[in-house]
Amino acid sequence: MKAAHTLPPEDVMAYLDGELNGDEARDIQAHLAGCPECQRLSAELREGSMQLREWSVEDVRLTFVAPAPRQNPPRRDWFGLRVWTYLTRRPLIAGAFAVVAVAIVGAITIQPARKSSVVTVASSSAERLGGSLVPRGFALSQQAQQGQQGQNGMDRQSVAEPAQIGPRIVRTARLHIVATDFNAVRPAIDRILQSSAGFVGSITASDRPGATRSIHGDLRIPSGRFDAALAALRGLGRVTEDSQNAEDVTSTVVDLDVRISNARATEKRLSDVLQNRTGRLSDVLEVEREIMRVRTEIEQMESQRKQLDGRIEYATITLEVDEEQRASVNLGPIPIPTRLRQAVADGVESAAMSVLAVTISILRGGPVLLLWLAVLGLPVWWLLRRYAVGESREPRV
Amino acid sequence: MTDDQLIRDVRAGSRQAFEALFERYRGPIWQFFRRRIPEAARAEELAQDTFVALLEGAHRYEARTAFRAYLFGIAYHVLSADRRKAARRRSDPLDFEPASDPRDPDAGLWVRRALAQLDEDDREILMLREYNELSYQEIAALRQLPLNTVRSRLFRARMALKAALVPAEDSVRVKR
Repeated sequence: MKAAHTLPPEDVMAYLDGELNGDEARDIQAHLAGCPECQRLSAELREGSMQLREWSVEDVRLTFVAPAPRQNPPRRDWFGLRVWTYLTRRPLIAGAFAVVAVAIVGAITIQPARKSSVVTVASSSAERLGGSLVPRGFALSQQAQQGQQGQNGMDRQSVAEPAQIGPRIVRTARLHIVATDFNAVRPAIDRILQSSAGFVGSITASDRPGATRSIHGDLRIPSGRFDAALAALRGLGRVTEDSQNAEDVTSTVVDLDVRISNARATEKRLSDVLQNRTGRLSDVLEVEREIMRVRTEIEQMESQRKQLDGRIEYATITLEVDEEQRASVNLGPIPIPTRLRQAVADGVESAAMSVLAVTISILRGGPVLLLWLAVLGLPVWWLLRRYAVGESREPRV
Repeated sequence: MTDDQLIRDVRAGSRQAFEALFERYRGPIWQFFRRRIPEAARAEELAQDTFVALLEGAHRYEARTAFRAYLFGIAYHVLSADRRKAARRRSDPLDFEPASDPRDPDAGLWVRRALAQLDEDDREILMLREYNELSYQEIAALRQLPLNTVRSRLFRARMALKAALVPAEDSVRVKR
């Protein structure tokens, strides 16, 4: 039987390519001397290389009038001077830096205006939200509370001023309800969603044996109908937990818009630079890389913006509805007489269920049993009867 | 003078040193592009770009790798940039279009056809090794691949080439 060949064929190739060191090369050489398989591989590899050489190209016609190479500038110890020298030798990169610098300055200039609009928005939103929330004693979010405090100390003039951008509020609420008529809960939720043009983010209905039924879910309601929907949901039963949160994301939205706008301007300028390029190839590659980076940033920021818009446009209500029975179970330990009564009742119920189960089994299996009795019983009965008749006709000895 | 001595002189501003390097490598660089670019004029332009890039970036050269590998690294990047631009101009991906010798268009015809059948990455590694005589390590650095990957892909390419060459070679020779 032929022994397994353990030498990797790549080693033979590496040996032929002169890629192995002295010891490895000697080992392969020794192996080759006694291994016909590797000798054949070696010949094939050599032949392949020879065949590749048959593809020749025409003679070189390249002529190059070399421009006089620039003298290396003397090295300066000060880093700033070296950077300046680098940028002056690469006008495209310097242009890109200038665009980025303008964008940063622009962003810094816009910052104060954005801050003032945020203050106005926070106070106005708190004014709008506080009226309905504070009297009920529910927790306001930190942002809304700050807005409420700001309203108290702020002059009315600044509140009345129109904001440069409307308030961007992400509203969320959490409701825990114990429902007496649990069967009516789900249809009621559907009606509320339909009337408020909302939708179900996620919902889970639980109906496990031995446990009370419950519904947990996230409902997405248009922000304009948030209060009405919340009030309707409170009517599903007894409210045991009710909290709301209003997160002011105006500054985040403004910040994203400015960054997207600046990035788009940068991308356009870089594209213009690329279109009208007269520089060196390496500079062009540098600008192309920069454009790709800026485009990726724009896509990421636009994605964030869309997500934020979704959260602003649709408020989220986390709803938890439990059946009434759970509340009574949790009232405390059951007294012993009650437990005994329950045990007796359970026993009687179990006996009744047992009789019922047997009856159901008989009813379910009865027709099938009759069928097989008819199919198998009739021939057997006929055979037995014939045997009995035959036996009776034989003369007794 | 060695390549390293010449490039050091180029860094110091020697025009003669650059011309010597150009004379030494203009053939290999021309062939590098000519075997990968079907249009001779475009191949010539890219070869020119390579030497311009060498000249402009001479002050950045560090003798960590052999000058030859450094120069083919520049050529490879110039080629990659050109392919990216070409891909943007065209909607469909570029196929490998091997160049032929206008003096003898049939020269190595089966070799070119066989190479065109190889996987793009494998073909590039094979050509860098066979035609440009770069070491495995230099190819690995150029393609940014692990050394063993280069080795296995090179072997795979050679085996695939062998399989592709046999029937093609027979058919071409029969026609002759």
